[in-house]
Amino acid sequence: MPNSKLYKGSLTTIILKLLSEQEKMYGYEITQKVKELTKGELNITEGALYPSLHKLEANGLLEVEVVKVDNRLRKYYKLTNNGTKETVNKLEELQSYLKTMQSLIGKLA
Amino acid sequence: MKITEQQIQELYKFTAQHYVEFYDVQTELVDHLANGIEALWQEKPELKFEEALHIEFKKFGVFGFSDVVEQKYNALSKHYRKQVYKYTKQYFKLPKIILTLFSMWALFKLLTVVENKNYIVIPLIAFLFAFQMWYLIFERRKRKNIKQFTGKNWLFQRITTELGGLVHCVNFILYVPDLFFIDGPWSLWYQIVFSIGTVLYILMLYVGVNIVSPKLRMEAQNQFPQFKFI
Repeated sequence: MPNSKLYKGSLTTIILKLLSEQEKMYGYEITQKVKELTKGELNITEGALYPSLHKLEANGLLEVEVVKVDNRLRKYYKLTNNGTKETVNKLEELQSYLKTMQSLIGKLA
Repeated sequence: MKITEQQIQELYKFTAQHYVEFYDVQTELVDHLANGIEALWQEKPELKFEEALHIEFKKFGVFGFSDVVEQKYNALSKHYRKQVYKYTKQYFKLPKIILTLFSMWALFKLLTVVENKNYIVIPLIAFLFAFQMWYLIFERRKRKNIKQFTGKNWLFQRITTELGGLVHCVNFILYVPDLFFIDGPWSLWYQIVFSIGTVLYILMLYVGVNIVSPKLRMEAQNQFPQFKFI
C-alpha cells in the first residue's frame, strides 16, 4: 500500500470525484469503491474519511439524506451545486500538481 | 448473514460506550460498523458478532471514534459561525445598512453626550449578559424537551446552545470595563470602537438566535423527519 500521507491531501478531491460520478454514496460505500478501483492499493481509513465528509458537508459542498435501509438508518452524501463546481476546480488543481511533480521528478532523475 | 435489529441497538450502545453521545453522529458510525461486520461475515461466517465488531472498530485507529466526533463538532461549529457571518453581512447592504449605521451613530452620539459612561456601559453589559443567560436557559430547556421527545442527545442541539462557539463572547463582555476605562474620559476612538463593536455584537447575537439556530434545527429536521425538533 502506498504511503498514506501522500494521498491525504487529495482525499477531498477523491471523495468529490466519486460523488460526481454517482448520484449519492454513503461512507462505507466510498471506502469500498476506492479499494475496488485501486485494486486494494489505496485504503481510505475511517478516521480520515468521516472528518473529510463532515468538513465538506459543513462547507456546503455536500448535502445529506438519511434513509432507512434494512433495519438501520443510512446517511447518504451527494454533491450540492457548489460541490459540483468545486469538484472541477479541485480536479484541475490535482492534475496540475501531478504534472508539476512528474516534471520535477523527471528533471531530477 | 445480516445484522439483526437487536445487534443494531447493541452497536448504538457500543458507540455510546466509546464516548459518542450524539445520535446524529452515532447513526453514521452504526451503519458503517454494521456494513463492515456484514462484509466480514461473508468471508468468515463463523465469526461471532463481538469478534467482528472488534475487528471493525480497530479500523478507526488508536483514538477510536474520538477524532470523528471532535472534527464533526468543529466542522459544525465553524459552519454555524460562517452562517452568522454570511447573514450579518446582509446588515451592511442596502436597505438594512441604514439601520445598522443609524444604531452605531445613535450609540456614539449618546456616548459623546453623557459624561459618565457608566450610565450607558453598565446597562448595556447587563442587558447583553441577561439576554445570553436567558438564551442559555431557553436552549437548555429546549434540549431537555427534545431529549424527552426523542430519547436522544443531538449534536446540532449542542451547537445551537453554544451559538457555534459565539456564546464564549460572553466572557469578553466582562472585560469591557477594564478595556474601556469606564470611569475615566473616553477618547474619540474609544467611543467609535465601542459603538461599532456593541452594535456588531448585538447583530451577531440576533442573527445567531433568530436566523442560524432555527435554520440548523430545520436542516436536522429534514435529515431526521422521523423525529420532531420544531
